Amino acid sequence: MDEMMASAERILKRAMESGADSAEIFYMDRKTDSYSIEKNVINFTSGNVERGFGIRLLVGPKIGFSYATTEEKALKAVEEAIRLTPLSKERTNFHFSTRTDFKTPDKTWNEKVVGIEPQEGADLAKQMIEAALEVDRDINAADGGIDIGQYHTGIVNNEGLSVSDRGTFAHAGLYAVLERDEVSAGEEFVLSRALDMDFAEIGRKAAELAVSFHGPVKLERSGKIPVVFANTALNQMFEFITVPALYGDAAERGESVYSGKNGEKVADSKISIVDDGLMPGGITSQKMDDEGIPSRRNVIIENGELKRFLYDMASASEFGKEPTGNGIRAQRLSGKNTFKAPPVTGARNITVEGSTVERDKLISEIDYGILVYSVLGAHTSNPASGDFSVNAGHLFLIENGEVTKPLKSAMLGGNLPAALNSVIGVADDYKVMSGHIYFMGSKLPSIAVNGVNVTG
Amino acid sequence: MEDSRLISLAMDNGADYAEIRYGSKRGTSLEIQGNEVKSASYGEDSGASVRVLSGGAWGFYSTSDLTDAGMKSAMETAVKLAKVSAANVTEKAVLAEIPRATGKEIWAPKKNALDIPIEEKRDLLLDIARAVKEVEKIHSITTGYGDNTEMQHVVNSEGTDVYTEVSRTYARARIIAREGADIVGFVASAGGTGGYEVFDISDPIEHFAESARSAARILTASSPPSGKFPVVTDPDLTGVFAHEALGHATEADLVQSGSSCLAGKIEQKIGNDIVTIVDDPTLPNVYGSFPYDAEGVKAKRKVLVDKGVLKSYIVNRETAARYGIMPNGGARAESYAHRPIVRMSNTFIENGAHSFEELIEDIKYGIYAKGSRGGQVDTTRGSFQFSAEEAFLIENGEITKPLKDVSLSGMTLEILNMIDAVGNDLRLSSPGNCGKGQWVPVSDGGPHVRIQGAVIGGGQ
Repeated sequence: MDEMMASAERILKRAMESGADSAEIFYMDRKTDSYSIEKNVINFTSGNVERGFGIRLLVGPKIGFSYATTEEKALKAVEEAIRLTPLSKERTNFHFSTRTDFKTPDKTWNEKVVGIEPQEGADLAKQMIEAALEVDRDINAADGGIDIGQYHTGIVNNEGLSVSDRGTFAHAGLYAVLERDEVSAGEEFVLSRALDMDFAEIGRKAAELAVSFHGPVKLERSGKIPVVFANTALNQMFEFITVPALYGDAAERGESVYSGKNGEKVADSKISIVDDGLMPGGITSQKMDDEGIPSRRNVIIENGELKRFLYDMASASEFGKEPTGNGIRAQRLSGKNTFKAPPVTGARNITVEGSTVERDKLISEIDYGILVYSVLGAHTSNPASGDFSVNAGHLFLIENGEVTKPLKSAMLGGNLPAALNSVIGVADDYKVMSGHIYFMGSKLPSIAVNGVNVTG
Repeated sequence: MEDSRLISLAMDNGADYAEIRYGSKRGTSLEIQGNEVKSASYGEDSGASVRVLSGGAWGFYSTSDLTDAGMKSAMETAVKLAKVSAANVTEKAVLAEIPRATGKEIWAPKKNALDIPIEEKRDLLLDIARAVKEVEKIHSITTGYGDNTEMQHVVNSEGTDVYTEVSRTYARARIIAREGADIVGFVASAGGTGGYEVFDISDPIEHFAESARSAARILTASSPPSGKFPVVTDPDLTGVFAHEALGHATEADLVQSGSSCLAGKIEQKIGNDIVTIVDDPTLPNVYGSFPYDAEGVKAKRKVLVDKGVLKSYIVNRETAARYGIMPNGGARAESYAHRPIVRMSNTFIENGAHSFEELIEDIKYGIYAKGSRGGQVDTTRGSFQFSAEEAFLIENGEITKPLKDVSLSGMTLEILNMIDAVGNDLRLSSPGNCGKGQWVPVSDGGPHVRIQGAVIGGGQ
């Protein structure tokens, strides 16, 4: 048994001796090495070890939670968790996980990631910069870098659960700026569980995007025109609008645009929305969620019909549903899971399925529309209604089935659920991404929709 | 292991500068849904980071393992990483001189939140929920409470040794108003630096009740017209504007990386004469305040724009040296585990001469935009977007019908010239968190401000 698991067992024992009727100890040990790029150089190399314990316990039907960074502090923090229990609402149907039916996802561990030396990491980052500079002599590889690391996480509880998993990750990205008469920028990134990305290709793509956004013109025709949300823009919209509306906790309370619509057609029959905690190589794929429920594939919307919502253990027990393997320990404003927060509902690897075509083919069917790479202000959307008003900063004009020129920023206004009910088509350019502010893993394609109001 | 020995270890291995920053943050958080506690948590996150400069490049390592072995390994690794970076940098980092700082600065709360029984904190949230629910059309409310005390101890190879403690206390709420199929979500917060006394300084219950009234009003609001209109922003939205549109572009690390539209514009006129913009971390009880930054530099009030002229960037020691600006204490880190980067604190537009009535009386057809549901900026291009929480039409100098989903967008360098009147009712807004790869507590504000023509979107 490894050191963290042994510590967790001792903390569990202390919790049970201190008056808990039931207890669960979560641990996380994550090590990350980062190579940061600023203005064409790797100017900052860093390492980070994040290690700690989350204690969740029940006294009667009431829950308390505390956390600490070391075993010694966690043994004391048990008292704090117990002290908080009288406040808790009564959770009569709540029990810690007794599940044993875990499946191990493929492609979540890569030895090459573990063995990387600082100089090698820096050399990979350098490949991104050099490739970007080859595209255009005026390119500035302004920002970006590589994060490489591994984690080991586990959960034990007094019901006999003892489960752990480990994984590796490698994230690389570059933000390239072209400053010539005026300024334009492009970004490209790859998130993976292995060191399988082409670093030069990332740098080249970022630079090529910056070049292609140069010299934008004003959009001439405002109004409701077809919009192709590139996978990166769709990810931004999903994080703040669609995904939170698929959480059972919001839906059951009538705070989601999908509340009470189980079994109804809520989206275009061309698409299905699926969350899969076992997706091979998925950014959050793991045997279990952060409270010891086996990860699984959940079909949320199937051919446009709403099938289910996502639940952590607390919301599942409250509403008499089954937990879906979506208990994630995430803090507000943090895209990563942590020992410092009690579990809430979180999407694992959210994806859109349906019959797909090449993105160029999708665009070839549009007479006049826009292709949007990123939006500003998706987080200001109204999550309860799905209404949004965002500023598209990186976009192209589509004319007669072809991407013709870059556009100056445009305002996009509309309702995302309504737009997803009016899908023109789905592209096959799936990209692995994550949430920026909320915990979320995703693998999303570009999507063309109708019904968005565009103002140039 | 003594700090001095750890520092010597780095210096003996070839570091030109070494720094240890211990940090710990302990506190309570509470979340209430309906009338019940959804979660209550208490914890302490503590650890340290070491940062070394060698050959003009940085190495950084952070850990929660504070044992001798853990700290020694962290320091050795940081030196190794700095040397890897040094082989790559073309512009060597140099640190601006600062006065050697030693001592303690503890911002002791008047009412230590850790001494307040957790039941009292819960009752405050229940009182807020009750007041909010009394407002018609309110469907549900989720409230949260948090208090924390953050300790920071910075020791460096130049003899700086500063210990600081700052407490922050806040409440927040997500209010859902609903009528038929229409649904409105509204987020509000209250609090500041300090202990439980932050709630004596301003009444949180009335604050959230007012938010609930706004949420209910929005239900009956219409979509705004699209296009360019005169806009009057309230202090909250003025603050978002100061922070998003201008503040971020004055962060010298963005200037240095070529990601700011304000590069090369120091001492240039970028706005109307009546526009003065300040970043001030020294204001008592305001959420974004702090005594010393994460490099052990004393926090300072910074006039960023003085009567329309760009005067200063916000700098850390490295960018201070690069741009010849006096270090102004602008390096902040989310926690011990994060590297210090250039950040804002409390950012606001200074008072002008006009009353609110004077700002709107000449407007034939325009928009009065209040509060913010958030905003974002592309500092490179100098474009911004932010959404008002609530808005009204202005017709013939009078506030008329309520509008919803109003968002403003524009270019920083254009809009500062379009501010043609500044109010005299400066107020700093509620607690906020600013994200730039790391999250730090901030605040912003200003008086009511009139913009001649801003692009309004959101109409459907």
